[in-house]
Amino acid sequence: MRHRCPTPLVVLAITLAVLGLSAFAFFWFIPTVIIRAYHGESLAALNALIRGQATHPVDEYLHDWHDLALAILVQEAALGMILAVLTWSAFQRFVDARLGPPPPVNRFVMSARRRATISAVVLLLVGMQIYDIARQQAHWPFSNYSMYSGVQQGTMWWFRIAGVTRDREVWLVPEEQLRPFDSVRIAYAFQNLVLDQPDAAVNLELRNLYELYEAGRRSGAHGGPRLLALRLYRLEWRLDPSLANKNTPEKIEPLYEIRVTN
Amino acid sequence: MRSVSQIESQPFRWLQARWSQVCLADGAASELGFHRLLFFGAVFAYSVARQAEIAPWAAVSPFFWRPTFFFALLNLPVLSERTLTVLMWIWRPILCLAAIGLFTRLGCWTAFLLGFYLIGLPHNFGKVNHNDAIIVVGLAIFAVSRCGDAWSLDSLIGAARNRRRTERGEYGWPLQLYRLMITLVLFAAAMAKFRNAGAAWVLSDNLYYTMIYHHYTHRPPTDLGLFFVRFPWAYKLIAGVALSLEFSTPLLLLRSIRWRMALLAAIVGMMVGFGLTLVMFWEYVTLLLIFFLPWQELGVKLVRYTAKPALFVLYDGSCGLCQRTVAVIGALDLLNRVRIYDVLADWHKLPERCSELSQQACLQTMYVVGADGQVCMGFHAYRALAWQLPLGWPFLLFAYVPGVPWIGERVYTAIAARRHAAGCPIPAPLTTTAHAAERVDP
Repeated sequence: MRHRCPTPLVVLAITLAVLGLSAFAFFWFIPTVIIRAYHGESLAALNALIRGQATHPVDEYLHDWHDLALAILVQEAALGMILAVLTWSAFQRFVDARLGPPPPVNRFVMSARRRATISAVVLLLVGMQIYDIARQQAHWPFSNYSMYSGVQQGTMWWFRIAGVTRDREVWLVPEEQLRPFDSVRIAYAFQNLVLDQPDAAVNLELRNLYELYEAGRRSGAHGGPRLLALRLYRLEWRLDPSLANKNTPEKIEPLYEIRVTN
Repeated sequence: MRSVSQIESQPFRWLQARWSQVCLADGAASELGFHRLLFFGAVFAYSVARQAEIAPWAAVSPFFWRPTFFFALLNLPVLSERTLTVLMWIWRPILCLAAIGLFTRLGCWTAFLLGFYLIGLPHNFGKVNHNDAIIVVGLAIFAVSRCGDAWSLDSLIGAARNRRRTERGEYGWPLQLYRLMITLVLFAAAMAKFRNAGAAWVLSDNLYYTMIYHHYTHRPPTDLGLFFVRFPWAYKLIAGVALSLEFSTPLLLLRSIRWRMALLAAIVGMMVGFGLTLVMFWEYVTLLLIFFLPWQELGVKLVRYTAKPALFVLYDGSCGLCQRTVAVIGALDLLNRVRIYDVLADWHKLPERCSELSQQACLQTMYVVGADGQVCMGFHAYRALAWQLPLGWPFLLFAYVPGVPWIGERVYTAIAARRHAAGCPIPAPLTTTAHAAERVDP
């Protein structure tokens, strides 16, 4: 007499129960905690997690949490379904028919604790990487490696720093004069800063770049001239395969300037 | 009759067995140890190249600080410039210790913890670069593994102290896991391109503009990209091949060595091509070569290759010039592929493949006999020798050019005819009475 194995059903039942509890927690309990923490009425550790009250309304936090909660629920459901399939006897017979029976576990002399540790490491590393691939996110050192993934168009823009001397203006070379920054990191850093931060913050960052420049100049790391001001420009080019316009962009837009006193 | 609880427990036992079969597969401690040596050696080279790039971040304004996930989660601070410099100076010898396998477990864990912070620090300032994240993943895997059980000073010390080696199942999973993580990097890049751009990534002028764009923002080492952009079919073909190769990267985990090597060569070629036209990811290319070349098979072949001599050299031991020549040949024989015989002193010791030669003929000119019995003399003998002597390999570049063998033979004949009149002292032959009986009458 064949015994029907109820394990997949048990797994599905547990999955549904977990989903139900999670939904309750995610869509009723945690939003309440977020609202209280936003107003500083929750535990100190939770209040400290939310610091952007000046620029981000509470609805924004709740919206972000809602997206995250949905993603977690979907993943819980997916994991439950996968586990149910893996414990289904028909699936296991299908795999055994193709790969042969699995070796007995006790041929490994490793302790159960060691096996569990290794399994946890494997699941963590592979799981995090697959998560980032699936969600198109990055959690360094895990990432979806999205560089070069867009479609490059025929025009481009870039940020550059110029130094102003007594009689001229010179483009600074970050790799030599603004270390540890390089030209790519400068451009990306200011791309984010110009969009997100108030003018005062950008000016402070320019001032920090000047300090890096001046420290390098005084220590002899580079032979750049003494500067009177630092300017941030946004440049635009129409890409030309002959590079004829590389030094003459179609558009040069000054964004910020700081003056320094020596 | 089995109870319901026993039936219910079997599916999970099956899962446990399959999981152990895949993730805890047997492997050789020597293979893991060898890879440890290569990996930490490469990370050491990386740390030397980046020595001056870490400490200056301490002087950067906190307004640039955009912490990555784990730096934010763990609330890791930016240490002072002096502390960062000290940490870099500590990290490098730790990497050396891990490479040679001394205090391996402590060294690997310390290398991982320091590496996570030092490698990760710059990525919190404005932009996350993706070239070295995979190094941190490798450091984590080696920290948890038992990679010091072979190819290490710890294993030698353990053997001297009669210490028992770690259990089975410990040596396969680290390499399998790291290889999987390496392949997932390129696969992730392919998925991102597919999801963000779809077919337009290949069929549009995307690669055309990307190759030009890099000359405005970076400094590609060559102008090869600007050459390819002249031909629409070329850059679209390159884009299609590159995307296909990135998607195929998980196939590097296949068991078949030939297919793996072909795919590896293609992927490394693609990465080098990227490096010449856009940006070079040296770290990734190095890891691909370290973890996907079949070192074990190469080692076995090298042992077989050097075990049996490939050539026998027969020379006139009474000739001073010949003695100097074979001395040089012996010094150049780095792969131990040549056996040298003096036809006067060693005639009775010659192997069977030389049986058809006459001693008189061997006294007139130097002979080289190959493993297949092929006999060469004169210029052709030296050309055959060049194949077995690594420093002779450049000679092969022009040794087969028409005309060169003819000239070589004339030169050899001229030198051979004058060798006894060259003025070099001819030492007394070192023959015994028995050997003297075998000498040929002049």
